[in-house]
Amino acid sequence: MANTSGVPLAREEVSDDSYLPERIKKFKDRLASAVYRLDLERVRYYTQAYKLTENEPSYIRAAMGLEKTLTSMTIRIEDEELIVGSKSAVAWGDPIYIEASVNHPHIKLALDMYGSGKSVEEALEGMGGGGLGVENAAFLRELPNISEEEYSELAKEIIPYWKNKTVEARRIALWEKEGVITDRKAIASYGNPVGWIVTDHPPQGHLTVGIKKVLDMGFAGIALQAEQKLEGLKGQAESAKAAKDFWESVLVSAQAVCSFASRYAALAGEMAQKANGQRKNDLLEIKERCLRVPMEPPRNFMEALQSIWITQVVALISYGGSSIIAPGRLDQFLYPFYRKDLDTGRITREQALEALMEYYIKLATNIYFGPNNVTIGGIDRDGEDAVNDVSYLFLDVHLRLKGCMRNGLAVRISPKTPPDFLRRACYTYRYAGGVALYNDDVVIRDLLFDGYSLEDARNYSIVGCVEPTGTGNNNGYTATNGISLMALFEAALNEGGRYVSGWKPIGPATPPASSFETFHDVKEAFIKQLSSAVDECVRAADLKDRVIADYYPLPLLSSTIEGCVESGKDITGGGARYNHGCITNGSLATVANSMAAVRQVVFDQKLLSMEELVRRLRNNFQDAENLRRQMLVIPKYGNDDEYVDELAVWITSAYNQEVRKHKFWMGGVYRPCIISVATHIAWGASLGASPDGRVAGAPIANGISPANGDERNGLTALFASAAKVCSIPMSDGTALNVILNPLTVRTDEGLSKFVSLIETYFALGGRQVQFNPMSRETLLDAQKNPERYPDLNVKVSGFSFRFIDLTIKVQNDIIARTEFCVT
Amino acid sequence: MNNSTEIEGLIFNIQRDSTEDGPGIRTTVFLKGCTMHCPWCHNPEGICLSPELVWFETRCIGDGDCIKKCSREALIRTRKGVVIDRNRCTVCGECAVVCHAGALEVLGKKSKIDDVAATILRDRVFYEKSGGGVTISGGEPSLQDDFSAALMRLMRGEGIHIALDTCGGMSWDILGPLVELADLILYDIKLVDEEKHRQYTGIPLEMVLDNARKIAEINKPMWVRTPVIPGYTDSEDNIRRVARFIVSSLPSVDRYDILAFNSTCTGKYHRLGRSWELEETNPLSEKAMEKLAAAARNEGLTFVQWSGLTRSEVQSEE
Repeated sequence: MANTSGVPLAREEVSDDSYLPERIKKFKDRLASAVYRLDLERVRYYTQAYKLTENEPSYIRAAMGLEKTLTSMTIRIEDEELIVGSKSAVAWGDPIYIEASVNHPHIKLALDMYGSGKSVEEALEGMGGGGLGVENAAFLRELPNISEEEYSELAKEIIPYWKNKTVEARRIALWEKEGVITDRKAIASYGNPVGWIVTDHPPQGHLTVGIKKVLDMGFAGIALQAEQKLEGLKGQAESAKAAKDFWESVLVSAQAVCSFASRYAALAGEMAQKANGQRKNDLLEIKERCLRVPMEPPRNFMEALQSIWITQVVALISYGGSSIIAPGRLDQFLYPFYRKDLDTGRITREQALEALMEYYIKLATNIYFGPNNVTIGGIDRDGEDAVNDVSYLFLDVHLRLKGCMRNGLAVRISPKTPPDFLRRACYTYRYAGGVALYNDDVVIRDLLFDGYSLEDARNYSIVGCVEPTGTGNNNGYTATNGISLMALFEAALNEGGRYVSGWKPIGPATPPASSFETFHDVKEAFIKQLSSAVDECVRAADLKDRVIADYYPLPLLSSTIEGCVESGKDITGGGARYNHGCITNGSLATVANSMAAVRQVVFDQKLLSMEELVRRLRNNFQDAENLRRQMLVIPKYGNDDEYVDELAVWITSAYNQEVRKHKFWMGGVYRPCIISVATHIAWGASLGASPDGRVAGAPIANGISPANGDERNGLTALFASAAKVCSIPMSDGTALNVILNPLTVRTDEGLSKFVSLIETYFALGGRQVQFNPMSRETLLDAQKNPERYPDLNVKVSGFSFRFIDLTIKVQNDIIARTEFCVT
Repeated sequence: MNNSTEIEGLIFNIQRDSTEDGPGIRTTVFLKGCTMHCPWCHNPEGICLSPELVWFETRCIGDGDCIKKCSREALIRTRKGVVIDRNRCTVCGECAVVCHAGALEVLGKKSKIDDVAATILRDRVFYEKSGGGVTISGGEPSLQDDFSAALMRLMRGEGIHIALDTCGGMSWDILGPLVELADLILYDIKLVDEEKHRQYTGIPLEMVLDNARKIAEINKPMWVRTPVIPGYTDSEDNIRRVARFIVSSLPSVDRYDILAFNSTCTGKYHRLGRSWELEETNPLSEKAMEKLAAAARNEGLTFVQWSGLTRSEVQSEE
């Protein structure tokens, strides 16, 4: 496909905000300085609607809640905005999905904060979530004050109503009835003793909204589709009741979305009357766009962008701002409109770039969970290169905004991808983090393994952090229920006991470590713990999923997903074209390193007995610092060392087999996934000392990345290790995080070499990689606290140095040149 | 050479993912021992032809196991940490074995050629994609010419691109055969001034220039490099002279790199128990490097590049 490719930006244009259009600069500043406020509107209107519809079917209640909210919530058009729509009445707040749990972090925080003199730190501590809250609470720039009215509404109206009705409450009751678990508190958070966790959030994880369907049909078209289905039902028996309810709920939801857009049209019209000059014209154009989309298919680029954004907004309102709803392959969706407008002179490249920047900043308003991934590049459904001008535009948007909060750009790379596109994507690392690279060959292979058709697999999008799914045709459900491999390995060494349970047996009683005669016995005990945890997790998740399907279906979102309106079932009940569950985990390197350490000191070198090792671990290496240091220098994953890499592959394979043993209750498969957002911190806090030399409570490794600072042989060795693991179809995604010194890609030659590293990693079968450019802040912190950065390596003129081994003066030189902005 | 697999080299580092020692992604093998003794040397651990013991302050946990282990009482605990008495130390390495924190390290390991080759070959795919390969560096690799030659032959057999990084301070009898085995020569010309060259490096300039001519005569591709050291090699005149020599005598040169000085190796000097006269020297400014590159281009070279850490804009203003 022809492309004009990205126009290279001058260094100043990237590193200096003054080169951004004034309007965009304002939006960016506004977002960066907005203060979090509790937004109770969604909860209020859903509560009202649910109270009024006690005897109605669940589908209808969900649709009524949405309708009530979309017709009642506060709307506003900000100064100079061209793309309109906001998920929340406040500038920096989330609509709260109370249906999942009354313990939503925003609610907990609000109740906690009311009338208290707590500090931000104390407030975060109180949020719990086992570390997740803390990691994600960057939105708390200052402590929110809630009014007395808000407090009383929460405490008297909202919580009492929902208390026993939430997914959490109902699944706990169901679990008790079914005997899933006795200690119901145990699984409320990461780092719990059982070593597995489920989530109560819709859509049981994250998913791509069906943007393409909305662009093709408009919500009016979707409503019509539902009407025709209802028409076809006439005279049919009562057996189709559920489908009928669903189609009615789709009809109500789709119409509610149309009225929501009309409200914006009316507001724009009102504002236009009071405005003058250019702004008057702008407002009239906003009005025209909102009258058209998302009701009807868009006619041009700006309408398409408005439609895409407002669809995202209603999806987030519908399922709460804490969900991760990815828009999918926006370069593919937008290109035809862009091309047409460009050809007819309706838009210039600069104008499109500016509009996309506005969109990108809006996308970054997902505050509790992030990131919001936009997928670009890759191949199309027919296997041809799909990179187009809009793909390049998105790279420029990302670059110009130097990333944007936690927005992620998922860049798909195939052997057919133009080399300069990959180069351009890598170029962003000079100035910004946030771009992740995906290998089409591997991801598509994985998705075929899950049962996707070749065409649909080729058309994948990235959702959540790093999870590939089909685009607008599936139930999402990514990176949700999880296990902690390291917790299970700990149990395997302790007869099912855990550090966090005071070594009381939690998992099955595997033989005592003292009876392990060969390394094989260690592996066997681990498999038993793993198998039992996955069984339990699947059983618990199935029950929880049925609560969601029975009580809290998702009509609006389902209406955009291929298969749902057709089948008369929503995505929580198996209506999507593709259905899959997921079990994630994230501590691969820590487990692999620990197994390698056990194998070496106990079985290969026979330095100490299994029994003694376990005793030392339970004592957190007390009086055994030398032993711990010895464990630290045993080969570590990430250095292309077969001794440990082989174990990383074995673990991944065992985990893959255990997860894939289970069929998903909606049909389809359970998908494995290796990532961690902040879960490696939370799980780490619940773990005793591990054989790799890690002390009790310290974080464990993240995703398929090496444990902190363990990569000592450079990127080639790291990629070689990671590629071995990627041979196992972790179809729900793996995260490989690499810290990069932006100086490495400062010159064109450096950039070329960097690009060839990526190409080789992908040729070796690597699935995904993302680089986190080392920030000045990190370096400054390392200078101050060297003990925290034992293995922070910087590359200067081709040589890698341990940063803390450099003299202060040299460190200062490097810091001065690391002008990185990671927001 | 009957039993080439038995050959051992004294190596102080094998760096994978090396990006500044020739084209593409490379693995650089650093051989210990050098014929020159430049005061600005960036790899001071590469100068001496025998192993050396170093102590890393930031890694030390202060358990004193090393001191107990040393039978020659060569390790002394002081307020500033562990000090190595180099007159007593025989570099037996026993202390490094008992130091699990890795604070004591012996630089320079006898390495079997097969092991070195195996490490290099692990990154073969990366070389292929990037047009990289192996770089034999040092120190001065021709000081261990048997090992270097054997390793290069092995790599030729594997079809790996070979760069030889040499200072040229070696007789052609020994250097010549190694040059023959390489695909590319990375050649240092530090100073074109007979007196200063001998004073700073200990080697006559003529030897370096002669060897360069001989490399050019057999048409071996060459990249010439000049480290730009403030007060030593950083005059425009010096760079012009190097450039002129390339233009007049070295038709096989593909590229001329001028490498900005940095003091990242200060810690290495300290750990080796040496002070370094350049440790307080500031990096050059980007402008100064540009100016030197321009001077070289003015002599008719089209392939001049500069690289390295330079002073930041902020510092330049100070």
